[in-house]
Amino acid sequence: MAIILSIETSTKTSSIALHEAGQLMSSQHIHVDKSHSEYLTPSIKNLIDTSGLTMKSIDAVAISKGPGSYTGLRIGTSTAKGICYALDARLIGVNTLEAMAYGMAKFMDSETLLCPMIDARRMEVYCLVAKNDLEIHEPTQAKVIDETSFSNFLADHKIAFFGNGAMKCEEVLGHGKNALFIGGIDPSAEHVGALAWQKFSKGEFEDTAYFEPFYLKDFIAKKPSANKLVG
Amino acid sequence: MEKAQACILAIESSCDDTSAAVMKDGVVLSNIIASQAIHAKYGGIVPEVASRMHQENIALVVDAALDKAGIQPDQLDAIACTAGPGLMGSLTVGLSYAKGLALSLQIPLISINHMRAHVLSHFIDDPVPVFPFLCLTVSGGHTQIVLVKDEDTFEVLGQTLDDAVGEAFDKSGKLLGLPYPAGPIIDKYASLGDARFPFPIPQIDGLDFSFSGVKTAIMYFLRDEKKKDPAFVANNMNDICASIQHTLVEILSRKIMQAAEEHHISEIAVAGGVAANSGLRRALGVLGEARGWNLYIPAMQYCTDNAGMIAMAGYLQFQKGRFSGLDAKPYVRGM
Repeated sequence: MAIILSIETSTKTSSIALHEAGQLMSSQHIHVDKSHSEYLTPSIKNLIDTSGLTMKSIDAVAISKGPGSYTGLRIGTSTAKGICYALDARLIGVNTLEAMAYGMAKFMDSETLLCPMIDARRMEVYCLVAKNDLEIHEPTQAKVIDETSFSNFLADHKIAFFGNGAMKCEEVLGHGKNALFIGGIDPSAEHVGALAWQKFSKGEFEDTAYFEPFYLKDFIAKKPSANKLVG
Repeated sequence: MEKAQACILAIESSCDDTSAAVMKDGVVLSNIIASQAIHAKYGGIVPEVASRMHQENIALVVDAALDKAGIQPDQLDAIACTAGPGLMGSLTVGLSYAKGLALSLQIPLISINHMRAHVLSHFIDDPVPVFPFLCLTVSGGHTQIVLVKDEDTFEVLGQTLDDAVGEAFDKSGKLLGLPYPAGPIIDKYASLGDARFPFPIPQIDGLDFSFSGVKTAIMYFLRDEKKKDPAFVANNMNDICASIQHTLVEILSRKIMQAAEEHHISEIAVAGGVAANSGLRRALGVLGEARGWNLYIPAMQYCTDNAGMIAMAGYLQFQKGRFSGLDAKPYVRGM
């Protein structure tokens, strides 16, 4: 049965998981800031070893493709590409926020909307809004949160806000009874792997060479300034 | 030296060039370099853009290097990769990819210092310098004189206190309204002009360099001349470029000459992208002739940032059985 290695490095949590035919075999989470570069690859080796597998057992690598920390996404994506190239394994990209929504859905009643949030500094978050069956209500976006955010949903729906961007929004959004804030939720490769198995079954693979993380924002560099003394 | 049997894939992504090379038993079979032209429109290297471009290029460049060498991944004995110094985001892409390969192919990772690899690029092709030798490493990011005692023992005798010499070329070019990277354009115009505008040579102790004062002097010079004649730059472009190039080359020449005298060494090597500068080549050639130096300048493909030199450095480590853990971290500074 198909073995999928999943990699989640879009936040400070470095998380990896092994699934066999969609069933979780093993996982590891390191909640240490700036540890990805050092520990991701040794962690994968360790997880493979302790699961009684070899790298050659891997049929596909699932990468949590973002949005999230650019550095984290770079490390995860480059490592995943290297593994795929060496093993001739397939690459599967999973939206980080969708995997988070999947992980939370089973703890929520079917009427409550899911809004995973990844911190993007100041009052900005990367988020989406999904129904409990993961149907997307509002697609992935970078959103600057103010009092009016989500008011269209909050008027007649409960929404669960979670992820490392959620708690800073509580004071601004915490009006009324419909907003539910859940702390301590980090993205997990366990959920990436579960969604990756669905994609694997449908044959939805990425082009390994050309795949890029889902940065969400184009990088706009400032144009060079004319030199004032000489200009 | 006895040559070990080894097939090494090397990766270099420390700045704005994505490169991969394959070396078999000490011979470069391929050296693929993908340069990022995109930075020209920003007037310099934008780190986030460089990182993203490496991500786009890395798999294609590695595949092209193996393909050109006619080597399959399972024939490789080790992966060598630049760990630093360089731009953190850029280094991260190459090093993470290299680790993924090494882990999956179950072969050792060899992390390589980019500056040492520039020096060791001299061992790719004959003739090779004899130890101990001096290496002047000059590029857009670095300017240093290194005393190379053997292939593992490097002593940095002097380095720039501010801009790198390549940076000084590019920034001067910017003052003249030339596009980035301006170094090669200045070299071209300089060959048509006379170095008739004097710029001061900074007096820096020891073997260190400074280029920021020259840049400021050029800036004020241009400002003053343009007040008198708004078309000054256009009308004197060749002579201005010749003067700038003469000054920067003179700074480098004086220091390498001083280093050679102080250390009684006549084996002189030049590495880095600025080794392409024809003014520098000519000046060192003349100096070398007069002083009986043996002067070594690698082929151009091994002067600019390239994975061939990383493969060479990796091969030397491989022969000694020195490998890195998969926990190797990228670093911004260090020799």
